[in-house]
Amino acid sequence: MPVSVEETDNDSVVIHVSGRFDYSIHSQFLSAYESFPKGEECFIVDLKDAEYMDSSAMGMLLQLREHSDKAAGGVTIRNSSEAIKDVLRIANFHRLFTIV
Amino acid sequence: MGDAEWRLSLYFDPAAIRGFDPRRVVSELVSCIEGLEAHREWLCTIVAELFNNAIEHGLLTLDSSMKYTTEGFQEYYRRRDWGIDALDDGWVKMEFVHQPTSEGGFLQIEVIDSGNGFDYTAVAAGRSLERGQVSRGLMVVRNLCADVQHSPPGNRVKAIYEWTRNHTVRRSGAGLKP
Repeated sequence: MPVSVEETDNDSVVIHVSGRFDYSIHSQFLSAYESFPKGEECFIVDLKDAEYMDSSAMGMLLQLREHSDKAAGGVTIRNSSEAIKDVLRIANFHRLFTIV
Repeated sequence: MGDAEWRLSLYFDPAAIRGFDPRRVVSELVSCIEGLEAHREWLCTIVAELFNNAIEHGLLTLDSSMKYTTEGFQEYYRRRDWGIDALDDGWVKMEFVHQPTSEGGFLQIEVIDSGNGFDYTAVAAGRSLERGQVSRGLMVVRNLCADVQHSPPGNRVKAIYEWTRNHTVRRSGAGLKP
């Protein structure tokens, strides 16, 4: 599965994306979080196994941010490759997301 | 080929568009050119974003403002999938032109589609981070390229990527425009 979900103890939901992070997984990415009530969860997007991301993936991350509990930390993006980190930086995503 | 002048033209009809993976083609291309391999990720990103724009806005005339809402976002990509499956005419042309320099070269990537063009001035202006679903791909392309020019009526874009040998690191902020 290119997108999988795991709930952790500390109130965060971890979404793993593997392979292509682009429009081809848009509905699977939405399914990963839409069952959680809007505004009540923090999410961690783990990109350890993502090959790349494109601008549609950035749109998906912004949609997830709108669904998250922004006051409690919103969305954390972790384990990105250097190339993905560069794309996130160009898009100024460090202002809206925690990137670790 | 890294120190040579060359030109490569690609033409995509609907069947070719359905089967085209820009990243795979760019990966093949850069692996043939000494020194360019280190720039593979960036070139993949540039070509994929320009090709997607040609399809989504040029051929399928999808409106990016749909993407502001969750429902609209999903609908946009559903229409993209349907549109590509149903495409029975239209084309995209892509041309790579390489000019060597003493340290590397300029790789020009031109993408033209058979659509009527779209309002690229609005796209270029839409810079808002959260609402700017329209421009994010182009913003990345502009940041990576030395120059990006659209031509009227908006169905043609020319991006120039400057590369140097021994320059594997456009990362850690070095070389990135603010």
